[in-house]
Order: sequence, then C-alpha cells, then structure tokens
Amino acid sequence: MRLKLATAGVLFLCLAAWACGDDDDEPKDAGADASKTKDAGDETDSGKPDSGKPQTPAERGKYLVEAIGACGDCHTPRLQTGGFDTAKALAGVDCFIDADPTKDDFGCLSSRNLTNHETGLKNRSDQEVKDMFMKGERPDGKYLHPVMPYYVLGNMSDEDADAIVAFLRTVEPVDHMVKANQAPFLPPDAPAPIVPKDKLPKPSASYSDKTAAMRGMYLAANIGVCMECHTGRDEMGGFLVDKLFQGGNRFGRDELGLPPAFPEAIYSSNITPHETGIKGYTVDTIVAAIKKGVDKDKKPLCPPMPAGPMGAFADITDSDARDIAHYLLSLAPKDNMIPATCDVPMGMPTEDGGI
Amino acid sequence: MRWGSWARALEGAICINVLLSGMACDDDAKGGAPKPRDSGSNLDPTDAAVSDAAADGGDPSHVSWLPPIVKYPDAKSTETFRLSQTGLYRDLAAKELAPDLIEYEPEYKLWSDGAEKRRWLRLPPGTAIDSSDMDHWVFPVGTMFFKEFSLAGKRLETRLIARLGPKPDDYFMGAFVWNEDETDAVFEREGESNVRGTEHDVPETKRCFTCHNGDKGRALGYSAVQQPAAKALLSDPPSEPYVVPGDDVARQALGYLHANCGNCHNPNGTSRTDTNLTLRLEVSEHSVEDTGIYKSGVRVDLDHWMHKGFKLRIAPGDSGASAVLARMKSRIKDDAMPPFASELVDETGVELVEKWIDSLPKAGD
Repeated sequence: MRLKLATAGVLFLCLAAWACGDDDDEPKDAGADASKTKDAGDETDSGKPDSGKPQTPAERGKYLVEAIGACGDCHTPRLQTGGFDTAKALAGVDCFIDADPTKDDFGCLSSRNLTNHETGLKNRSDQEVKDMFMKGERPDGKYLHPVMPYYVLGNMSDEDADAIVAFLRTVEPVDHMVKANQAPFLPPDAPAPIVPKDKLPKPSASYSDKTAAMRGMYLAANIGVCMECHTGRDEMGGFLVDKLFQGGNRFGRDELGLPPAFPEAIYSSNITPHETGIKGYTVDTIVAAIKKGVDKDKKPLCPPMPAGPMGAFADITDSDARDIAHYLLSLAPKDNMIPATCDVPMGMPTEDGGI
Repeated sequence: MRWGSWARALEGAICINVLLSGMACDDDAKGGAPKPRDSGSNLDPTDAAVSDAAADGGDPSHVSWLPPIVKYPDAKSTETFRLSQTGLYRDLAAKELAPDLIEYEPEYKLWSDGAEKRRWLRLPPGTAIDSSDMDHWVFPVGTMFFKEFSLAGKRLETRLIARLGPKPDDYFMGAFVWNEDETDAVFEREGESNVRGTEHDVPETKRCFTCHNGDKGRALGYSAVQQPAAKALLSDPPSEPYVVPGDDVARQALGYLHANCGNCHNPNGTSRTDTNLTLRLEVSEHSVEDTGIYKSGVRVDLDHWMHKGFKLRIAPGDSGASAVLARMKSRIKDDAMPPFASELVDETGVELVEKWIDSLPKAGD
C-alpha cells in the first residue's frame, strides 16, 4: 500500500483532535464567532487570530480545514517535488491510497474533490456536506470508507461544522472527477461509529489550568486531529475508543512513501503523560512538537505528524497549541508502550515535518 | 389583502388569473380577456378552481380561499407538522382540494414501485416560473409542489417541496404519512417503512435532497421535457414545446431514462462526483445521437462497476451487454439503480430501454 504523500510527508490526518468539553460535559464551539464564544464563563479562543480580531465563519472554517484539520494532506494533490499543488487545493487525489499498484482493478482509494465544482461539493447542500464529514453518510445513501476520519470529526460543534461548510463554499472550483474506489475500499455496510462523547477523556480535576485544558480538549478530542492518529486500532481496524490518545497506530513506511532509511513501520506516540508517553514534556515542548515538529530533546519527529514549517500544524495559533498542550498534560497517564519508536534518519531533509 | 384584490392590482402586468382560475393569457394578450388554456394544459378542467372561476366569468375575486401561512419546522423541531397545515386541502375531511392548485402529470413518469401518484403545484399569485434557462426552470419563492402516493386506493404519503427563500438550501422537503382513517397525514422526518400494511417505504427527509438537488429548480417532474404544455406559466415560453427525439421506441426509452435516472445522472446531479454518465435530456437535443444520453452512454466504456464483467455503459444492439440495463434490472445493494427508493424492478421501464438498446445498430451494422 502506498499513500501519495510527499516523501518527507506530512500526511494523513491527524484529523482527530479537536474536541472540547467543559465542566458541564458539553463541548462548546471554541471560536466560530469569537464575540459569543464562552466556555463555562471563560472565553474560548481556539482558532481566533492572536490579534483578537473576530473571524467570519469562512475564516474560522479555513483555519479548521487548513491548520487544525490538515484536510489538504489527503485532499490536495502534490507536485513531483512533494509540495502541494496549490492550483488544485482540496480538489481530491486519484488513488490517494493504492494498496496494490500492480493491479488496475484493486486497491485504489481516491480522496474526494471538496471544491466548488459540479465534480466536487458545489451541488451538495450544507447538510449533505456536514453529513459526509461528520457522519460518513454520502448523499446517495452509501457510506464513506473510514480512511476519512468522520467518526472523529462528528463531535465538533454545529457552529464549527457550519464554518467549515462556509469556507468550502469559497474554495476555487476545480474540475476533477476522482477515480472510482476499488476493493478493499468499497463503501462499508455501515459507517464507522462516531466516538462517543463520554469516551473523550476529560482533564483531571486537579489540573492547574483546567480552563485551558478544556479549550484544548475541544480541539484535540472533539474536532480530533490528534486523536485520530494517536489512537490504535483493533485487528479489524476498529478505533480503540477506550485507548484514546494512547498511541500505537501503525503507519507503514511504504504507505507513507518514505525512503528505506526510515523504519518499516512507524507507530504514533502515546500522548498521555505517562512514562511510555509524554511524561517530561512541558507546555512549551508540546507546542514545539505540534508547531515545529521536534520532540522535547529537539530531535525531529517522524512523519506522518503534520508538524514543522511546511506542515499544517505550523499554522495552528500559539494559543490553540498551548491549550492542546495543557489538555494532553491534564490527561490521566496511561501505560501503553508502543512497539517501536522512530528516529528520523541522518541526512533527511528538514523542510517538512522536521525531517 | 385578498387574492382577488391582489389580482386586480396586478391586472395588465401579470396574468394572475391563470394561477387562480386555470385560464391562460396569450403572450400578446396581456391585460386582455383570458381565454381557456390549450387542450394540452395540465389543468384538470374539473378542478375546483376552474369551476369556481368559470362560474364568475374567470374573475377570481370571489374565490373564498386563502392558502394558510405555513410554519415550516426547522431541522431540530419536534413539533408535529400535519398535512392539514399546508393548505393542500380546502376541506380535508371531504378531500376537497384547495382551489389554487394546478394538478399536473409529467410526460414521463418516475417509477415508484407501482404506487399511483397525483401531483399538484401551487404558485404564489402573480408569479411566473422563470424559464429563462429552458433546461432549468426556477420556481418563485412560495411555490409548493405536492405529490400523493397511494396503492389500491389507500393513501400512503403525500410529499411536499416548498421553496422558502432565495438561497439554494431554502427549501422544505418532506413526506407526510397518512393515518389509518385518512383524516390527516403527519410529517415524518425519519420516514417510515411498510406504511399502512403495504410494502411502500416513505423516505427520510434528507434523502429528498439526494435526487432533488439534481436540478436547481428542485421539482424534477416539472420541466420543459416533462411539461410541454406549461407555456402559460412561464416567464419565457418557448415558441414550440420540446419533443423528445427519435422514433417511438427511442422517445419512450430516452424519456424514461430522463425521468428515472437523469435526476442524479446529469452535470449538476448527485452522481456527477463519480461519473460523467448523463441521462437527462436538454431542449437543444433534437436527434437521438445529439442527446447526452447517447453521447455519454452508447459505446462508452465503464469507469465504475467494472467487476461484473460488463465493458460498456450501453452496448448498441446488445442490451444484455449493457451495464445501464443490468443495473436497472437489479435490486441488489451496490448494483441496483436507482440505489434507493425502489425495491421492485420496473419491468415496463426495463422493456422500454431494452427495446431501444436492441434497436441501435451494432458497430459495423
């Protein structure tokens, strides 16, 4: 299997970690309209420009799609150089995954065209668009393959979902009918279940800055970019909802299109504050990991973490990155030793994801 | 303001009578005396509106009927919404329809597993259907389309499409399920299976958009192809009504495909993200070979559904090798066309399409 990624690739979605919750267990929209977003009495500003200028819904949506969601990692084709083909932003990628490049009739999964064209989302209603990315329901009654992390995105606020739609309506149309999906990526009989909200881990009651942690929870868990990659799967591919953020999700080197110097398999890290996870990290070092793609010892993180100067997470605001850091540090430590760590090989380029 | 006085206020500018009385104005007779519509009109001359108006020489001012102001439920509303609130009937108990409705039938019918259907249109007074783009009629805000489904004389559901505002999503679409006594029908957002002891399934609301977003007017059975006699209601009436091309065999098949498949299979339809197969007719198509159906179907290689041994969408002269027909004949998940809203194959429709495909010359013929 091979994903069409930059060789030094950012990638696959850490689309899993925007969630939020508050003391009342109810997630709050964290910033679609900064003028009215309050979270348990505290202003929630995730995604709000650091300048404090209010955002339009489309601006909020752009931030969610481009920075937090890293949607382009899968939905924007890449140039030979590995960089994004910005003229075709969000226009879908033919055979984004090809499980067996030797066969013409097997293994192809295309990411969809999300632009404002007839071959994209132009003629789909707002509700249809939301049902796709939040429930995995296609307009024709079929279901999306769970390579698309709708089961994680389904817990975002209505306001943010609307903001994403508002932004997608502004995306330049690109005429691109993507190639048909093939086995084993044919539509499933049922959508992957949305992660139950009560499974989203809450900050511990004693955490010092619980307010920030709650804001971070919305981003990391309800919207869910971190959670999708940093949660393992069972043998059947099922999302381990009882082991959220505990890492262990396997990414094959070849799937990622990485050179042989990388280990054959890369596992997502346990990002709970346990010895097997991120114990020893601080808010600042987590922010550096998210935005600069370096670990607490300043060593570059392996793909597919979409961090670093060229990665989507570089555009996460400092305040949001700090909130996410608070949230991760506030979690109950979970003992989950991942099978192997990954060191970026010497001599790898560093322009993308810190590699 | 009563409808009658509104009509008078607009007299000479807009031929409102047609909406209320079933009388039509000539293009060149604005402000003149209305005359009866063409015999090909979709109006049933027995409609209450016609009777009322006819009794008064076409003056609608006496019509003692005002459609109700309908409070449509939003997506989260849990309030019961009844058909009796929509103004389809003037007297629901007596099943007396509102007098301002226009009953119509499409030229080519959508298969609904054998259900019998009646259809009505309500245009706001003083308005016309925007037909400036003859292939995509747009209905004024306030337009309502009703479609009643019944089996063996038993009312099962009545569907409603109402245009609520100017934006593409400003529509109410939903189905009302009739009660056992047929005293009223209730909007069921989630639909209902096997209604009133039949095999008939009422679709959930969100499925409405799957097909009805396939054209910007949203009402799929009211178009240039489907309503060649609707001239009097149009902003830009055509000089000649559109006629589906071809001999009778071709015309029936093309019309069938248009009505049953073209709502999704068109350049704006739901299927456009997956396939460029076009099964919707356009008024510029005056020969079979001109049609999008022919050009995107006949002798065109499959780009989907290639695992069943078929190579062509439509194999001329060989219906058995045509994927389009094979999918029409299937009701197995992932094969069936349409992919939902039908559990029974339309044998008549299959036969129409089969005959046409087999009538097409094979390569080299």
